[in-house]
Amino acid sequence: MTILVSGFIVAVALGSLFSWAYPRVEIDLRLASLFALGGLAIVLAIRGVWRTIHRTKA
Amino acid sequence: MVLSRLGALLTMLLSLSLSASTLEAGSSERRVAQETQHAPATEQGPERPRGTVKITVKDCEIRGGEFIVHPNPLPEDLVDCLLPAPIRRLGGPAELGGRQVLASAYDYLYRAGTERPGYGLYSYVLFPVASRRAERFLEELFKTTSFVEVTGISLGYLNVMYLPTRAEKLSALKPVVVNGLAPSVGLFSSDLYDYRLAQRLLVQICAAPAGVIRSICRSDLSRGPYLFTYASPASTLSRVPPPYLVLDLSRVHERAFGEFVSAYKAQVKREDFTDLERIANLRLRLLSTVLTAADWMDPIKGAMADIVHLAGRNDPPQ
Repeated sequence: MTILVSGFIVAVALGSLFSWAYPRVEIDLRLASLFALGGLAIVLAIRGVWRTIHRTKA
Repeated sequence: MVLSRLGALLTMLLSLSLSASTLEAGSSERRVAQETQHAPATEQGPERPRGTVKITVKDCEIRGGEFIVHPNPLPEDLVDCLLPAPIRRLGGPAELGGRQVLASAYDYLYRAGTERPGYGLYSYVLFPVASRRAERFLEELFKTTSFVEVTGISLGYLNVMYLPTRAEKLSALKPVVVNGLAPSVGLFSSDLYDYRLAQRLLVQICAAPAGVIRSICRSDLSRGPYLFTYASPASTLSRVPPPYLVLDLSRVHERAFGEFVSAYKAQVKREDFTDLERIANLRLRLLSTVLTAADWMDPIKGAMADIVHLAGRNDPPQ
């Protein structure tokens, strides 16, 4: 659940950044899906790195 | 008698000495002149070929210049660039710097050679064939650009974007032009746009292409859209000498056209409108990539739905 919520937040952040950088491009469902997928990938990657660091410390 | 002879002799000797000193002075003056001619060369070190400027390989290619360099030069290597005749005659980069474009507006070109003189820059919006891409581009252009008659800006400060238009269809265009409104994109693309004239202009541009557009000219030129900008009317030139700005949007995603049109308008406002500073950058390249990636989302979602559906059907009943 945490991963999904975090992924959603990152996706919103990605969308906002995109709108700021490209104000003339409308965000449609396909772009939103891409951001959702990207957000999820980023969260999973951060989680993976985090776990690896903790495992190494332990 | 003797005295008169002596006087004549003295006069002769005097005139001889005078002419000798004059000759000597002349030769010394010539020597000084020769030294003066050689002086700059010795002060500046090795002499640069006449009519050349020291710029990078990349800049030289952008300006359509010629240079001789060692094999495999890097774009940042400095070379003696021989700029094409129009630039040298008009004063080189200073001439490019003298132009000031404040805005862009569109107009219709219903025959080659009918461009109105006096604009800051002349641009041509070229579609080789009628396509959805052409319609999308026109949509973006009409949405963000005014008709030339309604801008109220002096011609010299305008970049006019000419749309090749079929002369025989002018009657259909006149009611729209009078109001300064943009025509319907579908109608303009299918009935009014002159694809033949656009193709002819593309051929003219590619008749003697500069290094920077050689790759564009070697492509099939069938997708587009293409934007061509020149400092003077170019529709009647059989060969178009550089410098010019050619924008090939063949590989750009349709939905990115708005951003590209905006970047292009910013580009023509630059002192050197040919340097691609506002167009060939990471920001626009990334946009096209992201939009292309987004196109994959529908098939991926469909495939995932199919997989889930298949998995559910193959599950053994409990």
